[in-house]
Amino acid sequence: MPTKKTSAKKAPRNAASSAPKRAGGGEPLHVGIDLGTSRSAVVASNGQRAWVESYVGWPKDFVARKMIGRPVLYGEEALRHRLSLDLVRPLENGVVRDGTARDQEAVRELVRHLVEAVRPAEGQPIRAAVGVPAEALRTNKLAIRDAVGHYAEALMVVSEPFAVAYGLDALDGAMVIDIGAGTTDFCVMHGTMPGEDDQRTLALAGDHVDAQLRRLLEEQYPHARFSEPALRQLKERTAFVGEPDGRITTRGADVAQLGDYDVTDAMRHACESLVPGIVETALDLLSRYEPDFQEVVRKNVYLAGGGSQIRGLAAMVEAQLSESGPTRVRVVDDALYGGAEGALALAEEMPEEYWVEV
Amino acid sequence: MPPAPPRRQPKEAILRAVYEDNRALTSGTAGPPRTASRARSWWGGLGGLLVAVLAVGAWGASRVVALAFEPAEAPAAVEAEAPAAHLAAPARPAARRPVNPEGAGVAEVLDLQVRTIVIDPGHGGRDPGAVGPGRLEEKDVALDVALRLRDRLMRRGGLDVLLTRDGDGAVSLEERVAFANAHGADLFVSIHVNALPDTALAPVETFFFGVDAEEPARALAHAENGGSTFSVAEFNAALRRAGTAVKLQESRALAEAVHRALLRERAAGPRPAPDWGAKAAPFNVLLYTDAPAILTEITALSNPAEEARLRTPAYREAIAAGLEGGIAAYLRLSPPSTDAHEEDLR
Repeated sequence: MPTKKTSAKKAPRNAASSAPKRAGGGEPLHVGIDLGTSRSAVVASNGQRAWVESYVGWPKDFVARKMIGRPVLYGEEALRHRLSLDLVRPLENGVVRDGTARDQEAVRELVRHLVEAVRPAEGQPIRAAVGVPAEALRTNKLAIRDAVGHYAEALMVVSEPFAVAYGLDALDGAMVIDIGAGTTDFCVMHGTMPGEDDQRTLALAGDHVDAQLRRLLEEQYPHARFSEPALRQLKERTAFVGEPDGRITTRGADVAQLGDYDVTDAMRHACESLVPGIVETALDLLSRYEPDFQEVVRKNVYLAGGGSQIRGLAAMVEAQLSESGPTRVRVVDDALYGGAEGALALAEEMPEEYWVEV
Repeated sequence: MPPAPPRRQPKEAILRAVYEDNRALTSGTAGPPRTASRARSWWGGLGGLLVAVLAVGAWGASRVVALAFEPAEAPAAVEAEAPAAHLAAPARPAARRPVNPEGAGVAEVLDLQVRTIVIDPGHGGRDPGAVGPGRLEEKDVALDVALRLRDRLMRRGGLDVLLTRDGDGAVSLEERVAFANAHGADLFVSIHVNALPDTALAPVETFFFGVDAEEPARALAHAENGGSTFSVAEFNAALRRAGTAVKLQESRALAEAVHRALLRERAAGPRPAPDWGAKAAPFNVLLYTDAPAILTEITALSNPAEEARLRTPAYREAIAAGLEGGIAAYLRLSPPSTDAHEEDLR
């Protein structure tokens, strides 16, 4: 974002984040980053990798600062201390949330945290490839570029599903459906870098499942209260579509009376609410291509991202897509790191002269 | 790892495309062609006018004040046809140059009208927004200017002017958007005050959502007719794209008009404001509103002199007058009344 919205009272935060760019000599460290709404992941050519919940928090006041003892917290730790923090989840719907410098700063802090997590050597130049949502606009890419550029000598920004496809080596005749928290990104590969017409972004993903689950539970148990973080964790462990494996329960409270509540049906319906949008969008995107190419793509549909881990989802999407033509849907091996691994592969294979010029 | 895809292309070409795309991103030039090489060509033809009409129809039904957009850089033939007769505004001052650089828009072609304007004072409640060195808070300035702007627009008659908040309450971005959409906003104006690391600066900056309008709605209306072989999915995609193009075009025109008017207003003060331009930016509050929408950073609270000026009702009123002037220029209404301006200084 071009706007640098900060306030005088936020100034120390800026100062804290203005670490120098690593531009020293030596062998460059290649880094692949997947910046996600919910989780961000990083993989580096030195073998290190890490992920973090995409939350950044700054102590609200001097009392909180003293209690926490650090100028900024990330991820799970930031969530735990959320009452004492100005907590920001900067990549809402997959884009820098409302374009304020605060969000940009949060992205910058997130990137700093990720870069430090892969332990570059002192002064080692960093070359980063960063996956962003498929339909991130130019200004958003620039905002992310600004944030990452603070810590990298050179960087490339690519779409997340493209990064996944690159990592899979699925560069021609394939479709990647990357189901994140804020958005589901679709990308058809046809031997070139995908353009705007080859990609779609659907604002229907993990956050939508959370919202559906809450709504369904409110209907089913109008007097009960549930912990949102607990529901989200439960979703990550037990999300499914189709037939349940067993009964899913969670703790809830009716006024002050704690008890176990059966959430099996709610979980199923919340997760299945993703399916029509995914199938419809995939078909819409497929319909842009010639029939023979559609047939090829249908054999190579990959689900990626956290949403791909919903049990039974690939089979259900495959069945529904197959109603209009034989289709094979697979889940990528590593949903958490798939985008970052693809970005790293791209960074490592990028010719030297391109890095120099970028 | 899944099996290799059916036909492997050299990676070199892909890596080069990534490099060129990133070069274009940093240099500000257009990227490589972004079309699916195997896509069927379906856009255009009879869908054009139909899609444009439906999209604009959905965007606003009944309006009272005539919308007008002036052509600029349009082909000579288009310029000659540019409608002016339906404009209800009196003679405009010379400074009010054409507001729409893309040429006359679909909204103008279809003579759509504006009735409801939603003004959105930024932040509120526990979110103060920017805070000046003297502790003046953005939320209070934005609300005051918004209230003044509402009064000014209401005095004109014929417009419903609504505020997303009229007190110091917390309103989420989603609620602001939902409010505007639920009330059938025809225009959405979000008011903010910037804060910058360089406290010497106090620029004017105005934003609209989106990428450059590659397919202006007017072009759709002129697209040649042809036999329709479009699928429902294609039609839906066309509808989405045309709606986006119209909103983008009008948002941009409104942003430019408001931006120019604010700069003029600031030029009348002790020091002219730096012009940081009217430009596209990805604010959610602009993306999800159905109406043409802008977000304006009227000045910067981090500048001590500006903070001091913002404490004076006269300056806040002048900024409201600037905003009113921009909206009026966009709508081809009469310029702001200086009488009203004087009254409100009290």
